Amino acid sequence: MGYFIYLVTLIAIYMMVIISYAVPVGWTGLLTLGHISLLAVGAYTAAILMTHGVSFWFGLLAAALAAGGVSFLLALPARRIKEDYFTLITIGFIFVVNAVIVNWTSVTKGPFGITGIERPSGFEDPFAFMALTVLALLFTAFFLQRVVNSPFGRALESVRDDDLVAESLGKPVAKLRIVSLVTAGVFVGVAGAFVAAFLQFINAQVFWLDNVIFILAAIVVGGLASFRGAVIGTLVLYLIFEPLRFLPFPPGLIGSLRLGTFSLLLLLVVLFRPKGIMGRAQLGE
Amino acid sequence: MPIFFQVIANGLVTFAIYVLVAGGISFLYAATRIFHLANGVVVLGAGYVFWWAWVWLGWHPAAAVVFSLVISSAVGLLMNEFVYEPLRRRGTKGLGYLIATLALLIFGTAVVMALFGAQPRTFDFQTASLVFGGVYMTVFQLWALMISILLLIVFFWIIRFTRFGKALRATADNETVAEVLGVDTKMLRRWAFLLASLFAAVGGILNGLEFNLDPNMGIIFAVRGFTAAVIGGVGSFGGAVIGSALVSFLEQAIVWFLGAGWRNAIVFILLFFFLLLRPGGIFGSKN
Amino acid sequence: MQSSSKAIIWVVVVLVILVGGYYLYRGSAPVETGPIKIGVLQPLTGDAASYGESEYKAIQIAAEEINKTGGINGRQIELIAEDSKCDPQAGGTAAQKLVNVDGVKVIIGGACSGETLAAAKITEPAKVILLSPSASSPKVSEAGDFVFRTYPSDALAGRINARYAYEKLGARKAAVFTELTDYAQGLREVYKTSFQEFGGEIVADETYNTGDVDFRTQVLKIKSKNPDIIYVVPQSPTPGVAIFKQLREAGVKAQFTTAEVLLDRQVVKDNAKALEGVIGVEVAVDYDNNPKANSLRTAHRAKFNSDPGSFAANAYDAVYLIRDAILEKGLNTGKIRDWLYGVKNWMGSVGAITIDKNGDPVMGENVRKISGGAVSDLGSYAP
Repeated sequence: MGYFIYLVTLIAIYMMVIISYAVPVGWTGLLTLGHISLLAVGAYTAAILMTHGVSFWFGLLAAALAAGGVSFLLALPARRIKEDYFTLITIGFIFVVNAVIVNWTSVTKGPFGITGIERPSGFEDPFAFMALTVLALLFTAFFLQRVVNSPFGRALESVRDDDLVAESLGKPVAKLRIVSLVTAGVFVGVAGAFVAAFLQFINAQVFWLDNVIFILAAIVVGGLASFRGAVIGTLVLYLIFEPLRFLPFPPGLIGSLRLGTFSLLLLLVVLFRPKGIMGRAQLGE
Repeated sequence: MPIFFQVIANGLVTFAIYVLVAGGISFLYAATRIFHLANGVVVLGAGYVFWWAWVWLGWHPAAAVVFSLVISSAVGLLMNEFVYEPLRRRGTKGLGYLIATLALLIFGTAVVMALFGAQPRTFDFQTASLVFGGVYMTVFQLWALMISILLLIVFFWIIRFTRFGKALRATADNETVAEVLGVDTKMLRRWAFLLASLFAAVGGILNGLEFNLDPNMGIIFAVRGFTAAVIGGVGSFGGAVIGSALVSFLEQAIVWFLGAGWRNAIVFILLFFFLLLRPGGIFGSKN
Repeated sequence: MQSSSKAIIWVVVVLVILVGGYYLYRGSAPVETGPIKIGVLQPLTGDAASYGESEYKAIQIAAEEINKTGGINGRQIELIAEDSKCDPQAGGTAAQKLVNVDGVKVIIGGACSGETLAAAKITEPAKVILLSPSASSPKVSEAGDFVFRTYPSDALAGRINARYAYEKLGARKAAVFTELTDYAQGLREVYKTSFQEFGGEIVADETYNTGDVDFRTQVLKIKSKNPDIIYVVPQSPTPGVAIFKQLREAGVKAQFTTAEVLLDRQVVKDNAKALEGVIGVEVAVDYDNNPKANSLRTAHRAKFNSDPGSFAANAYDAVYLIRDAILEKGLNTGKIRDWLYGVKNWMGSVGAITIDKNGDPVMGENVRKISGGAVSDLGSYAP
């Protein structure tokens, strides 16, 4: 039972990240891979504050603001740069954030990581914490739903489908891109605070390359521009993988099996079913 | 002063390897408009296949090299045939390819990890150190440098003086016009992938011998490759050379002045500013 | 509420029911007969895999030996291994599974401090014993009542090395070259503080990232400062070997010293040239004269065709410690815990172990020298 609660909490946190990122990727057509770094920014901001006596809730707020702010910086080039190059920058950003975490030891404790992160009072019980996380997830989903079903959301889609046309129709393409990235950033920051409180110990390892492909695959396999798709994509990927643990594979092989399955699925979807399970758009068409 | 030259000498070794990878990515982009990050898989695979043939199966090193080059080029060609071409037929642009190449890169890494284990491997291989006026280089390093330069010269000659090279340049300039003028762009792409994969494979073998084999190498080289290619100017031969040189020497300088921790970060910050202010890279581009 | 939010909730609910049902079905109540399940939490992939595998192999050998002689009170040991990847998140998930799904009472692991600290958050409330053979961070001492280790805190090895360098080798100028991980940085800090305390000077303090392969610039910087002695701490053998190789290629003349990881017997065998003359400090495992260590080595060679790796002896002893605890106190983890805290001069393959009030071992650390592809003992040295 405890394992199950643990899994649900973990999946809920990742789902927050995934549906947040579904907005810039699926609706705005920006292939960004920076989500893991923004998660790190959120988690570290929250962790640093919480280990200095700040409450979880303020830590959450700070994490959201910090991640949102960093997203803004990262989004600035989106104005002038071609899409491919933008993606490359977001990849590079993962390394930059990692370097900051590992080297800014006075603040982040470097390779030692931050220990002793407390859960919000009243929510120490794993079940209660899980409930809180799921609640946060639902709130995120609800909010983002409203966002993409609004005229703003439609404007985002027009930018994805053909930014030149959108520009000629007077849509502020650059601003739209930036706003969608920052919005995603803010919610991922929140997810980061949850990661910190959940694991109660973080270091640079947690925010490294393994999960980047998972998040991208979840969005693409589930289908772009669809929250249901993103959710289903996440669950499909996770539930394909977890049972593998119980099969008699040598434990060391599981890591590569996981990576291999996700990337293969991603590849197959791109090749044979670009809209994913229930997407409404494709990238690069 | 000898220290300065030593730093240069150190940088030359990594330069020799980067340029083979970056060059491939750069010129593939010119020929196909695809950022073939999965070139990193070729680099990775070549090193491991070479290890397998030489150390595990016990073949003669020359045979192992040839075997590795053959397999690696095949992998590159297969990636083109079965992933990029079908996508092209569907009319995919930009981002669609990027997702595919990333997926290939990770998948390739996973396969190598599954086959060879996740731990780094080394070749028990060391050559003598030579000293030139206070600067140390090993025999192998010199060989690596020479091989790399030789390949670059060959490549340059191909681009400048052969029909293939001309067809390539025409396609890079304007694919539609090139086709109208009779260039078989599909065959051209195949040859381009073959060439780029061969170069990357050589880079992978050299890297394995000089440093080590690590499953994460594919991703690392893909990232370094595109950084060097973009900074120098994608699609330009001079660009790949300058970009690789810049990244190599900059890395050495960063480690010297700031320590290793910031190495990757600073290179990326440089990339960031280039893309912000001069997306064409140093040598402009044939975009 | 919007229809797709509703859909999300339904999907989650349905899946929760399905998956929850599956796990409840599989979840086991503690069994009084049948094999004793012991969890193994090790990094089997990732950068720390070299010692995760090394420890796992030693654990397997110990379990097999015990099982061959009838197991514990007639019950066989069943090892359940999970990959913690030296990552707190993976470590936490793995610990969760071991504790809640497999129902283990004892876990041997993690190897890295990070994953151990994360796993402790789960084992403590569940009162599961967590016994690490190699976590070295001082934080592990306070990680919990049920958390123990068969490896002393960082402070020891770094300090012994520094003192030996200053007093025995007469070094006055030291260069330190360490990997940017918690284990290596912990040793670096202790070494620097100690060496300076004894009166020496740290002339170079270089680092490198996990995964770096090119160390020439740092080598050059170190060379330019003319140190008497160089202390290299890698997290895994490969970069360590490469560093020494590159130091030699650059013509650096100084005494080379290192920590535990490079004293892995198989690594020493495979890289005899690169590691020739290197001095290091490790737990006082004596493969030639200590009968338990000897038996470990023989079995290791027979089963895996290689010599025991880093921390293998610590892992081997961990299993035997648990066996002894269970033999005396049964499977009640509270009683096992009390027994462990009372361990005094227990003879293991690493020599005598006494466990202190924090669950940390007091054990001997010896200075070693690598030469001719083998490790020889230079005796023990005070910290």
